Amino acid sequence: MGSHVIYEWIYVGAVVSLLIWVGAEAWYGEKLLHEVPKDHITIKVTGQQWFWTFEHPDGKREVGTLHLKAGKVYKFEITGKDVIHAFNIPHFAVMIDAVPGRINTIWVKIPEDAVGEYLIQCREYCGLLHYNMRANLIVEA
Amino acid sequence: MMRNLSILAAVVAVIVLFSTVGMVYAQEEVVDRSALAWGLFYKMMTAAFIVGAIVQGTLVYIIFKFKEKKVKERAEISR
Amino acid sequence: MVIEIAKPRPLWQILFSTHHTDVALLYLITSIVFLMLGGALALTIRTELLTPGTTIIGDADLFNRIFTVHGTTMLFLWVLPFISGVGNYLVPILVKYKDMAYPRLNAVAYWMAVPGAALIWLGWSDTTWMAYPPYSTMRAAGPAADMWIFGLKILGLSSILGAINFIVTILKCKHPDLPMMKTSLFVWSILVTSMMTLAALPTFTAALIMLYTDRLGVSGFFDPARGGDPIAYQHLFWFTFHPEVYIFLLPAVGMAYELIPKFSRKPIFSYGSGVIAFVLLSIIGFASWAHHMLATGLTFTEKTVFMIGTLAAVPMSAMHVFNWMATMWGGRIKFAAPMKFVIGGIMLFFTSGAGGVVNTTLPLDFITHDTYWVVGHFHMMLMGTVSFIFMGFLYYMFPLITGRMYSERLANVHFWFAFIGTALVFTAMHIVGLYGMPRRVWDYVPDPTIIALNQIATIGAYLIGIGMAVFIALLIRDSVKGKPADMRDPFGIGEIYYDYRRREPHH
Ligand code: HEM
Ligand SMILES: [Cu+2]
Ligand SMILES: [Cu+2]
Repeated sequence: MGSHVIYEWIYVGAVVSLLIWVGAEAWYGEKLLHEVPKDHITIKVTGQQWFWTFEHPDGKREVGTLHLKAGKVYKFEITGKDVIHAFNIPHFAVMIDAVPGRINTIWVKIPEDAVGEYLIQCREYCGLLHYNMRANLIVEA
Repeated sequence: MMRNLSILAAVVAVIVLFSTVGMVYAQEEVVDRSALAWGLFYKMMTAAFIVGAIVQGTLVYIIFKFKEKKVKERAEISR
Repeated sequence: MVIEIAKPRPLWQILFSTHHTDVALLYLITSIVFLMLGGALALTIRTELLTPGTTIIGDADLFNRIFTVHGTTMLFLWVLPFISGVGNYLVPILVKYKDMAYPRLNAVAYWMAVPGAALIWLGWSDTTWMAYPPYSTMRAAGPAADMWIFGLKILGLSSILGAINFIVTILKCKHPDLPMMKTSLFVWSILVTSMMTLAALPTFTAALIMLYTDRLGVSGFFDPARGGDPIAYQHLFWFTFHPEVYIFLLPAVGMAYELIPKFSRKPIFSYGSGVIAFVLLSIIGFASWAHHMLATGLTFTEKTVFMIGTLAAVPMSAMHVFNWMATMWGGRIKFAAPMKFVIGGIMLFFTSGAGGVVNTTLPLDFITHDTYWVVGHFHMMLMGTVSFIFMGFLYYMFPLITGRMYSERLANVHFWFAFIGTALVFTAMHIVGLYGMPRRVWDYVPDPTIIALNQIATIGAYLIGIGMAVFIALLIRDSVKGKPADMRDPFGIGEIYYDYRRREPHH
């Protein structure tokens, strides 16, 4: 039986190679998403119990609704006012925590054909009305 | 055995190297984050389901092949 | 006492005993009671989520308290006490020593868990089991949150005392004729997890004090307005609790190593590889904690490092699976309840492990983090693998504890309800997470797919509930009325069973 132990090492080799492949794919994908493209519009996002406030570059503020334009690249600068929240637009895979005392950034390119309404929600537990801490994303042409 | 193994290792190393180099020099443009994430997710799921089928399949095979009753039956037939 | 009915003893004799099997019995009974209580809370949660809007729980506040107590109970009052219970029964037997190294300390560690549990269950905190500040320091209502902090503090100290006792028992009291490399892999699993406990837990106990002084307002460790940082808590917390998830898992792996060779009637395929995997994991397990924090705004480099640390721990789990399957291969497997639960556990282990790899694959965390996917992942692990192997092992120890045999037929009913239920609930949770449903929510978007998936999960939970009802009925009935077991080889597998005379200390 002792000599059969070699099979275990072959198997471990296969598992390790598979994981290296997973790691490389993940690293590459993350790298593409990490650097913010040059031409972007910055939106300041603030989460607090239990609603979202958005501020456009021209100083215009919106509460509970966010209007964006299709085909543009947006960078969100996100913070929390009281406790930790998480800014999440499921449809565009946008997700990052809104932490008091910190500004986290994440960017997204809204595709040309994405005109419509989408859900914005809080994805980090933040107390009583966490389940209902939602906002509306309206993408215009 | 050792020779086979080293060939296997070499093949894996080459694949990993090439795909990494390819990635680093790939064209950079403004990516669609949702498309990228879901594309990666489906790739991972394909791998997971293939590996899962092998692992779970082997386990089910073992369960049926080596259960007490089957082993006894086989022993009786060969006797 | 219901259990040990074959030779009844007055209750106080067990309660005030320091003998390892008595303390073990107390640990096991406590853990099973809390498994049932925690399970009842889980069924309440699932019932509430059966339909959008209010189903049975009138408001979100109560809901938040219920899932906090559920999570805390299952981790600290079911999994950990069960490990201590089985460890207490078996470690002295397997290292051939008369008792634990420090019997009185052992009893103290158990009795500390009792006020710890009481604080959690009397307080009903709504902080979640992770108690992230600033919510837990600035907003969570007292005295519930304070009671939770003190409860966990006491449970943490109890764990540390228990770990010291196990380490000394194994390293110092082991019979001189028994070399470490011949000791059961279950003993190895207890040894490495005890060492991990000593390395990991102090960080969290310190963080708890910081939480408390922050709550009192005398410090601002986690308050940005006073120069603190809420993220610092998450590092302290996960530095303890990522290793802790392996502390939950490895004893189950050790139990599987006890059971699989016996029920396959074959020696372990590679004892050495089991030891190597344990020891390596206990070290590498400390290099992955921030995979729980990928969405907190870590830098690209930090994320990469912790992804690599997480992936590096996966081959060890894969080695165990190989070892188990290779042990079964060519054996003559007897499918009594213990073996069924172990094999069910291995099947679900792969699923949850693959889910974990997806969690750490960096860009995918945008999709999965803090959704029901993560809830599916760790329940598949903690219910599907850890609790399954634990329940299987309890069946295996049943004759040792009670001197009686359980009903195999009922155990089979338990297994199938639990297995199908578990697969159903936690698969549905993974998928509903992909549809973006956040975790820890009392209500959800009334989208037809999300509703349907939640209902599948609830039905699965009820199936588990039926299985658990059968389980508890069986445990009570058969420890009173079960057929006396053949104590040399109760399962008819041609193995020498544990020495049951250890149960009677006084002769
Ligand atoms: C193959 C091995 C594993 C990998 C790669 C893995 C990976 C992960 C990752 C990356 C997360 C974070 C998910 C997120 O919040 O976005 C996670 C969460 C979790 N895992 Fe695992 N895991 C593994 C095994 C285990 C085991 C063995 C256990 C316990 C016995 C476990 C228990 C947990 C728990 C409790 C959480 C969630 C904690 C919470 O947020 O409440 N995992 N896992
Ligand atoms: Cu929130
Ligand atoms: Cu972890």
